[in-house]
Amino acid sequence: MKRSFDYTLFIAVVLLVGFGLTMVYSSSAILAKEKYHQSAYFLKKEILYAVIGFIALFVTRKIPYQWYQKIVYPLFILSLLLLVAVFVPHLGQKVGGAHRWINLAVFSFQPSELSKLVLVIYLAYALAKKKEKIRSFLIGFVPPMILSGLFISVVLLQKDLGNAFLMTATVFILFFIAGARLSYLTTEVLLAIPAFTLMIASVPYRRQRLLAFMNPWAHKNEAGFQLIQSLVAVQRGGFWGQGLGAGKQKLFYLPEAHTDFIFSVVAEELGFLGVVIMLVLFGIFIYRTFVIAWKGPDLFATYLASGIGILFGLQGLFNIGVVMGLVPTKGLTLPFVSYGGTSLVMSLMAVGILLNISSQQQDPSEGRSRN
Amino acid sequence: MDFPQEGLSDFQDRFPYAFGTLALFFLILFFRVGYLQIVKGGYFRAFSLENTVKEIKVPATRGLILDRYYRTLTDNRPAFDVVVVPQYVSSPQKMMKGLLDLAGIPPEWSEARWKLAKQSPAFFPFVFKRDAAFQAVTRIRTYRVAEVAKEDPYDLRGVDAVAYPLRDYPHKELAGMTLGYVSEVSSEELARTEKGGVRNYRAGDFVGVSGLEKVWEQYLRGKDGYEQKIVDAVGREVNAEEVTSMLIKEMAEPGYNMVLTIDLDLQKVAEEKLGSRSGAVVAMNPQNGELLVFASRPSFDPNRLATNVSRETWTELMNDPRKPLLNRAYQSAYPPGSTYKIVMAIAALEEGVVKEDELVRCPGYLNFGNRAFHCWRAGGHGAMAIRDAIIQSCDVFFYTMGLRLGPDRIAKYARMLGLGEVTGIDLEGEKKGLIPTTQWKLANRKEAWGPSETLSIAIGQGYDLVTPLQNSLLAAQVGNGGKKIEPHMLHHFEAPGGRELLKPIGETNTVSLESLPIKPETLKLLHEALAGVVSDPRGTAHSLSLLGIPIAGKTGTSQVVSNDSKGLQGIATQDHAWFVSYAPVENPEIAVSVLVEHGGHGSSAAAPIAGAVIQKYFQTKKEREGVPVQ
Repeated sequence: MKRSFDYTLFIAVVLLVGFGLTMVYSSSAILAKEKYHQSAYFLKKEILYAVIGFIALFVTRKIPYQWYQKIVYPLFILSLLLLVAVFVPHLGQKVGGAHRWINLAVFSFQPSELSKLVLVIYLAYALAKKKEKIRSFLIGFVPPMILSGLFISVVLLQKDLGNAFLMTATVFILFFIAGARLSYLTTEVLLAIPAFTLMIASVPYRRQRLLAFMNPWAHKNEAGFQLIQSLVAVQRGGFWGQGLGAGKQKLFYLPEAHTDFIFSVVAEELGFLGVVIMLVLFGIFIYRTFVIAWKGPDLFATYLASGIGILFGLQGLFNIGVVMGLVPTKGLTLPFVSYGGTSLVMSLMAVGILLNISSQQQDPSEGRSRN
Repeated sequence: MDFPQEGLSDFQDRFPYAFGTLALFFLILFFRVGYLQIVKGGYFRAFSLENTVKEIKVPATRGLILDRYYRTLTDNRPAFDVVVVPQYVSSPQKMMKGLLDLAGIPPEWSEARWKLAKQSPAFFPFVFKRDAAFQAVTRIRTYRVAEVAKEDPYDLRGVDAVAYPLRDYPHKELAGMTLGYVSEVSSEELARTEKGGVRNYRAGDFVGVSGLEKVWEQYLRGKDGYEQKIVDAVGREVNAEEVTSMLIKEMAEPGYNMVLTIDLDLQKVAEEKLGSRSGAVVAMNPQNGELLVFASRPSFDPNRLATNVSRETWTELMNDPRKPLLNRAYQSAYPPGSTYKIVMAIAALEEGVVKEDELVRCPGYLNFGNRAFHCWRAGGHGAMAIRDAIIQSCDVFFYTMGLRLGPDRIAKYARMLGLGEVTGIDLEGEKKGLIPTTQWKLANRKEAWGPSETLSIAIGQGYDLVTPLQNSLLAAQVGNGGKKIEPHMLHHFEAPGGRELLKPIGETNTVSLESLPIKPETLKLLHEALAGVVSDPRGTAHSLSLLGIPIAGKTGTSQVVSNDSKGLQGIATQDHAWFVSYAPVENPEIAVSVLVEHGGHGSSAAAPIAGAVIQKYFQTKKEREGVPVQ
């Protein structure tokens, strides 16, 4: 039975996006009303992005994934240029002290969201091309590491520590599954630890956040405020939740309720039940992604799908971890759910790529491992 | 395991690990949510829809300010604020009626506060009345019920009384400006600290706004704690035993107690003696710079500014022509008059422009240019040497010295002795005073120094301006044999209950043993002459010899520039009276400077006050014999 379309994956994504739109509205309506005198301000924008995103999804689904191998370097350079363009005056937009957005007049574009996807495409290409050579240090390991490092450094320059960390973790896991020697990877990890430590320790607000994470109550009026409010929201939810739209934490207490902390609104309003449903949807998405990777027609497809899965999986983990007080505050959105146009469009494009890979499966009924 | 694609064997081995780890983390998240929502969810199940967790600030007790013998200068007393949480108020009319009948809060006041309260967040306890009477608080608490019937006259839902420690100044006006006062943090101050990134203060917090309370705010303040409480719809605490253990309580950390070098007994004497006159008394230990008295009159009662400061109170204080908010001890500079002759004598001897035994004749005036400069004794002092010139405060002698020295050489010694420079005392807004030089004149008045001006400054008039603090430092440094000291008021901080010492950074409290470059012979002559001012029958402060204490001193009477203080005709034209002194003459233990604004003569107005302080010092010292000084 030839399966040309992965309905499970697609439906999980549609439900997640729908879920997201509902929660964006619920968590942002009051803020939007106060700021823009229009309670559906954020919802309308997010719906527009969702529409653009699904169009992008159907376009990328039709593009044979093999094509990306041909344009990988132009893509890489384009993405790098966009990242740098953020610093160009008048073009770049500074929000909250961080350069992360490009002003395209109509809507803002966050280049680091694109760069995550491009990094995965590049790595899948590089790792698939090197194949066994990945085990050799100078030929296989070093060149892609250097290019990835360059890429991540530019993201770091934008003060986007969250995405930089996420990309670094994705790179390591991809190298790991591609067969890079563990000794190289361990060495690299050991080198990366002091680098990230320095980056956290040298910037006061990051240090504050970390300290607040370790003991939020001691910093309850400052950096720990968000985290405490988030935990209170989660606890208030209980099993059944306070009811959609009935959450209180988003009103006065929880900043960025519709972006980074949307999950705590879900937890407060929909309770444990809502959280489980969301986690299951997320789980299905990740699981399907890995199945696609496992059955990938070639090495590039396998790595590409794995990379996407790892990227989204980690980002989801980090975001929810932050909300639950398990990971220090990072500033990462919840894929498909949080408010954020670039993120949503890029995520849906990635889903399109996955759907294309799954449509080209050679032997869909049989797992490779059973051959 | 044949794999169609070359190079995938590693992938096959490793991929499950990556996938598995990710799955494991998701599982952890799942359990964490379960823990927070289901296990800890009981924490919130304990209260109905009406009940909520409220975080209540536990205000830190502000550190006390104590004198050198641990006697209380500032205290804290329990006070109650009547607060209203707008979201719980169901009938503002019935609430205001209740507040009027039970707490005597007039309806106009309530109306105005209620308007403001409605503008602040609905959940925020808004202060209706500060420092309410205890009976009012009890009555409010009695009449506040959750169920209000139609026929009930009052509806006090949302009203509460919050206890907190209020700053209290038991000695009222005593050392008022020096201690300073605290008041509720202003919205501008709040905005400013929030911009700094750290929310140090919240609305309703008290903050030191002047004097020692301001300077040492960070040590005195302590750290507020907070307590979670479950409250019902009326905002009243609910006893929910099953969750009590889960509620968080963080203790407040009290501020450090501040022990001053001030001696309350001496301070009292100084202020009593000044009485209704305007002026200042500064006394210090000449051996180490510890200030024993730091008095300024008129003063104000800081209690008046601690709560409910009305606009009238402010206007009254700000517009009072007697300027009660000015700390005359160090924020106001006066012409030093004849006390400046101490500086002149040192300068003349050190520069060698006069010999110890050189006689200068005083006919009662000195002709200079086309003008006669008079001595205060119209008939003149006759011929005398420097020692007698100091004892009798002869103007003509020092005019002569002034002409020999010139302004710049005088200024050199004045500055060396601490005049015209900030002393660096641990308070804000210290005045520098003024010791003029030719360069200063050129830069500030755009004209060259006039030779006759030298005659004015030689007797501490003209441009010369010094603060009472500087003048007491002058007496102390001459008295202690030319040792450079730094006047200060903070002895140490200590943690409440304990004797744990905390000396602020930079506050070493140690005596700098640096000596001023003055020859011992010069200082010896000064000692003898200043002792003579009191002991010699011709001395200007001979009356103090009745005390039976060897005192050295110098009187001063400085002419007042009449346009300086309007609105106080009559006394305003009188001269300022000065007296600087130290005792005992050998190894002095106390140096005192007294200034009485428009007091008339230094000998009659200022010297007795210094005498009383010195007398009290030795009297209490005797009483305290055997008790070690902290």
